Amino acid sequence: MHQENFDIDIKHLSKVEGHTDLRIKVRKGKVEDVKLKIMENKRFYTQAIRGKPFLSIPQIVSRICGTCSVAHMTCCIEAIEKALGVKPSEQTMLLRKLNMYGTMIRDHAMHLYLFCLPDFFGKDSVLDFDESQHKLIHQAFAVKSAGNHLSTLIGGRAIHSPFEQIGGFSHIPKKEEVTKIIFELKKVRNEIFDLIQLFYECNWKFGEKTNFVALVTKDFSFLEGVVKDTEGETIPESKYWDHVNRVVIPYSQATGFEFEGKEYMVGALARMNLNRHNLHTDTRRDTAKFLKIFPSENVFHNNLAQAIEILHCIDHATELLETSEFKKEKTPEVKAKAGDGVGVIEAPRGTLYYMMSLNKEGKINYGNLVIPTAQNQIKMERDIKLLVPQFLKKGKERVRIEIEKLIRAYDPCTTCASHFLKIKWI
Amino acid sequence: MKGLDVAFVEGAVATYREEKSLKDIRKNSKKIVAIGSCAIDGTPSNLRNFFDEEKLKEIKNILEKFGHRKKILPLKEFVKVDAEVEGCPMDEEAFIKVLNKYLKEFKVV
Repeated sequence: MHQENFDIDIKHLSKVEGHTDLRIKVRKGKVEDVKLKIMENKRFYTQAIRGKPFLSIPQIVSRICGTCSVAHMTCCIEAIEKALGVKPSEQTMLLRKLNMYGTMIRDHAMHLYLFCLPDFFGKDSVLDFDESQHKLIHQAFAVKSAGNHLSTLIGGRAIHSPFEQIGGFSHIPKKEEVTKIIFELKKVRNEIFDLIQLFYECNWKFGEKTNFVALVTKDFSFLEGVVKDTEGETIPESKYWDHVNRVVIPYSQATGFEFEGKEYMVGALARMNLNRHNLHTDTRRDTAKFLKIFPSENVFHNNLAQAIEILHCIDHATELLETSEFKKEKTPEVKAKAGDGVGVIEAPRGTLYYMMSLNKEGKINYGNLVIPTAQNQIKMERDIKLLVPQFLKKGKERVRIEIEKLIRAYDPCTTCASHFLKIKWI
Repeated sequence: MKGLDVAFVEGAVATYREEKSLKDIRKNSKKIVAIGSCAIDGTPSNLRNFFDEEKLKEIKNILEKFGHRKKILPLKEFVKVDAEVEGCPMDEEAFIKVLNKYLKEFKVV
């Protein structure tokens, strides 16, 4: 048998968020080494926020990521509100859910249509799609726009929302604007089924026994609830940090995480495995056939899970917008005081944890963050190690394509993963 | 990368590797457009430029290991920038304006 020696070096992996490099060493037909390097530069947010007044923090951490800025901001606001003992009103929580839905719709749509579908059709990018695939590009932009418009309605802008603040929203959506968005959401709803069908039919398979972790919310709204894993554990938000441990990966600009001392996976697949019974009634009714696939350990089903989540976001957002009367309300008093607070939400790519510790002037003593992609990093690297031998005989180029497909299925966001530097606990 | 008409560059320059990439882009592009606040004036990527001694000490090893420059700087500190699209996130209307201008200039439309 042909005993091959070769190296694969991927620099700047395309169609993922941020910069990732990969190095694989094969000797005598055996994989000797796989290194997934997150090359996004650290921007040292953990240091940057220290000493700054709490009011300025949500807008700063929002800049950790362009695509999921709303998730960072919302989770940070939750942590600060808990530290200050501020309780947001029912309407504020509802608006936050809607802002997250807008983000999810847009973010998932970008990943599925623009990053994954080219792999699906064996093309380099959507620019190479042929005539018969153009419909999907039109759908991509229609769905992305609907998500953007929903976030703009609620947050004032699709990215780095100016309206969403500690204690409440500075602007309440007007009725005529709401009606317009409901119409747009209903219009794109039908288009999602093409996407769901495509990922349902996709026969790519890769999965090893894995523990999945997600915040389980009663209305699948990504914001409240308890953390659960597939091994049966239930953890309150505030205790999440006690169950994870940081793993330093010397060649990467990001650190990895273990849950209960083991690798694990967060994200849409984890949410679908743990919480699909809480999806919106209309979503469950219309995706019954597809939902039978879950629970699944096939990483490629993360894409199908994301597509179903887009539908849920549209359905629940439509219901909330149709049944709510938004009123200007008095926001709770927000006053500086010393305290610690934890926020946990489901960001598009999985469980996001913020811990904020404030001094009596309301300045940040220290902050601690656990980022979804950093949590998936160890499993992602292990999966690549297991995947390579399956395709070794088919040649280097095929190995590269298969690895890229797998990494994209994880939907990593390295901009988020690398913001962080191990902090000293005092 | 060769013979580009217009390069749209976002983000500020933090490492020596990025400085080199940016100069390569300049060499191979007729026009460079700086996209967003970080590319134009370094903010908000450049938070560490304002760190005190204590914070600088904490991040020193990482800066050295991954080839970071002493300060994070905007594109114009290294290369000629032909146009800018301001904002964080960038202003969409301004982007479309620049895009249309160059599409015409390079006779694409």
